[in-house]
Amino acid sequence: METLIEELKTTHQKTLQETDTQLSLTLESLESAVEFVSAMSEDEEMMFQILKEWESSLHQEKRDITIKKSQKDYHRVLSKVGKHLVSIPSNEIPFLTSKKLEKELMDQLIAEHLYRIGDFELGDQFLKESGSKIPECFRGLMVKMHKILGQLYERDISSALNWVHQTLQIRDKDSVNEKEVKKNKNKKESKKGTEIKKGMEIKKEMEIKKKEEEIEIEIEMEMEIEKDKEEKEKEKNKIGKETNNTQQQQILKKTHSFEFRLHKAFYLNLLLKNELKEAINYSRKWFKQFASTHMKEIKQLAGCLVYSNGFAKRRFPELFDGSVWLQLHSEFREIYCLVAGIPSHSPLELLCQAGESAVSVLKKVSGLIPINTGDELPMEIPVDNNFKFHSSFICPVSKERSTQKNPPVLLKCGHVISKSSMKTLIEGGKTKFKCPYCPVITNSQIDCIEIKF
Amino acid sequence: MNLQKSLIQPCFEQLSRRLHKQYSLLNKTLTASFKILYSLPKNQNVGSDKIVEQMKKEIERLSKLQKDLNNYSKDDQLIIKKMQLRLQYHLSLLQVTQKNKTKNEEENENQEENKQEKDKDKEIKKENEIKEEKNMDKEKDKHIEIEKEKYMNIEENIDKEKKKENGNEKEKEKEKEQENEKDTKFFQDQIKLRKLELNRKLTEYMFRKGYNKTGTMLTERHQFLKQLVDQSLFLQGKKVSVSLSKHNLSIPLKWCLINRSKLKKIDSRFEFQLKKQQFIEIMRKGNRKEAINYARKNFPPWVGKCFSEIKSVMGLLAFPTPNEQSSIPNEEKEPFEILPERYQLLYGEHSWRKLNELFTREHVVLFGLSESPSIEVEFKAGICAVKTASCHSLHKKNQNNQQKITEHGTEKGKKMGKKKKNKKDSVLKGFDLFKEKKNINTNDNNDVVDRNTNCPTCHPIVNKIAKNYPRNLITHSLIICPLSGQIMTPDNPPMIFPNGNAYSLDEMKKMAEQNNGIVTDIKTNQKFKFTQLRKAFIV
Repeated sequence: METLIEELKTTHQKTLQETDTQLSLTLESLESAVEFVSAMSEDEEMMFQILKEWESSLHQEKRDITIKKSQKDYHRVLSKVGKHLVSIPSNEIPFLTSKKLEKELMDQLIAEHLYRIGDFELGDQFLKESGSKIPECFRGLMVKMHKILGQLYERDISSALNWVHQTLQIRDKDSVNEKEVKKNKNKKESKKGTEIKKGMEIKKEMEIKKKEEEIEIEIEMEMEIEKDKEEKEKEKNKIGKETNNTQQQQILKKTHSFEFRLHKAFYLNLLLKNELKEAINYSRKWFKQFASTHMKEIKQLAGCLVYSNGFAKRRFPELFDGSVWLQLHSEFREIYCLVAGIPSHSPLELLCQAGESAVSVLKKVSGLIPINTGDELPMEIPVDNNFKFHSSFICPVSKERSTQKNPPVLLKCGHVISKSSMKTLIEGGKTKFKCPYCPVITNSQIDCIEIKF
Repeated sequence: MNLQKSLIQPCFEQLSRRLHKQYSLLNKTLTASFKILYSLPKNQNVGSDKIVEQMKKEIERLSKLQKDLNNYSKDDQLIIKKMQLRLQYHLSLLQVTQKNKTKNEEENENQEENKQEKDKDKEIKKENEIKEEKNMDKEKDKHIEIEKEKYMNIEENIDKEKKKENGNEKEKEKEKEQENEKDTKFFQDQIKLRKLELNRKLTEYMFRKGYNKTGTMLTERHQFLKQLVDQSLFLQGKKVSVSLSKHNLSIPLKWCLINRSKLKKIDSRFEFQLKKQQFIEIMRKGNRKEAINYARKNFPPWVGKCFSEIKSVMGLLAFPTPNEQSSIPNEEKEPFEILPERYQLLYGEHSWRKLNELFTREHVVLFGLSESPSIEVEFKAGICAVKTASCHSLHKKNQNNQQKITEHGTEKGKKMGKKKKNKKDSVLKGFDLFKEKKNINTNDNNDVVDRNTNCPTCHPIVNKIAKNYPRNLITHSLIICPLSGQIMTPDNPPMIFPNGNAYSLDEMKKMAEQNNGIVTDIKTNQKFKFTQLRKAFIV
């Protein structure tokens, strides 16, 4: 393609030049002819002779034909380009284009993306023109984030520190609140049980035996429904609590180390300016709380004090070249979004990135196999590890994905297979079986643990 | 390859149209003037003054032609430059994606080697580990370098502004040369390219949907966007669609005439649809004769492709038109309501909307672009690639609970009618049915809830959209540590607690070091000794 376009360019220039020269030459000869004719205006015979000669020379030179030829050359190359373009297959993937994407949802995602980049003007304009809306709290969150980021770009950590302290305080309050909420829930559940029992008693007193039967059935059914409801709520709460717990732990850890890095960056700044005393005071004030977790780094930072006159830069170049600040920027984004409960990167951007490579694979396959709307694609789209956010276990024996009903099972030797493949190995009432990967014998009732990834 | 087509074909179409115009102009003037010039010596009776006049006229004409052609070709050259720029952009994008592919292939190769050589020497194992570390370090370094460049760019921009304030001509010329070099360098910078690509897709989306102000704002903010996006194309298309929304068919018909040959190549029926609508409009006024004449003139060439549609449209002749009164007296219903639904639809807004949609699609396909904006295509493909079963497990569980309750309600109703002998049997039966239905509806709802706030498909809006899309097939296990968020590798395997939960080895080591060998399961707050944990080997 490149060569074609180069060719196009050159031929275009050629034709331009050709036509230009030919036209100017004709104009010249015309003008000279005009001069002659006007000079010879009295003698008509001479005039016509000159004209005849000039006309025959025009015929011979055939300038108009050369002009047309050169234009045709250009046309020829252009049509080559056109043919090449037509030969490229079209972009369409029918199974994707058949699924309509709601305009509003897409607009909302784009507006979110624009706010995340920090372009609030553009985002507002876009929302005006498209007519869609976004929850205002999101915009507020992003405005705050970009304010703090802006300060960090100028190497000012004060607002970031404030934010860190605020979030740590809120987390402490939250844990206290959770305990209170637990107590209230227990009270509510006990109330429900007493109400149901009262209902049963009243109804039994009122009705005859036949009706009593039916009513008892009803009540038992209701009990079951409510039991199931409660169970499900408990499960939800459990799962919610589990995830909350892990999330909170993650948040606490990450904010803790982020705070340390803020202080570290400021300390290094002070060292750069050769304000050693202030640096020492600062470190004494802030580094204590991080002694248990970040001792190695603190040692390195303290060691920098030993070097004078900028030798620290040579000894620890990675500390003084600005990369510390750059890491802070990306870390802050991640933590801020984690605390707020939103994804750290724009989902639109991530999905479009993943989609770039996916499009070619989907196109190839859609020509060969029909990709119907099942739950799963018939082939795997190879995707970078950056785009993997959930755990999934595939049994090496049966190649099935593990679910809650068919969980992965840990054997004595440390290998993991799915429960169903273990059952097939136990077939015939056995309790002991060999691991399919190593010759270690596992007892199915004693040594196995079901794993929850 | 697809991108190439959508980038370059619009330019090509522009060039070819201009060439046609140019060529016809040139042809006309040249043949006309040369005719006159050749015929000059033959008119012997004409006076010399007139001859001179004619010759001067031709001089004027030809010199005008020269000027016009020169101006034309200057613009042509700009378009060709644009084509070259777009091609360069496309090639550098290809390079970027190829680099990523080779990176992934290298990593995969390293993993495979690891598996083979676990049986063999340990030294080779270590070498591979070092390679992987280097790859990871390289990636980290690149990321840091890119961020450094960002930071440097901010300083560069400040310098640029200062230069502009000085405003020397020589400096400006130097800057231009540097900019030209920077063009090529810009395209070699991976992250900038990716951002530019995303912005290009966004601007295309804006212009396609008609958000012109935001589109122009975007083009002003980023370099190269004006040359990469075909703003004029979409604006032209808007004219036609505006006239369609105003129920005016003249402009679209003109457009069809101009692009007839190309529409034929795509095998489009847009022209027929326009004529069909024209027929409907004539019928709406009640002129059956005129309508029949119009049909006789315009429908025959389309009989081969659209015969069934012609038939159904002609059926309108048999029914009363919206403005007519029915011939049957004392009719309670209005005449229009007698019409069956499909004919009512033809008279309504629905057909205009369809026309509009058809136009927007075809207009864009003519120029080699895809039917829907490229951002939507990639977004959808991305959903298919990234979506997993656990992205929807919460959502589906909620749905299922509701279903169960309603189904149980109907079960109750059935039982009230029946008379049963054994209470217990009836109750148990209900429960069994209940369970069975549970199984039918819980194909994928047995998934463990595995929340990750960073997962884009778990985002509420994307989740709504992603309901209808299939998920990616997974062939290899991938376990992520809930504490660190990292993917567990053979060097950092999962450690299994006696209650079944799993965390990575590194995290457990750290925890054990800080707590005298005791590790706590965060999900249940139970405490165990580090020695009670068992290593799992995931194949």
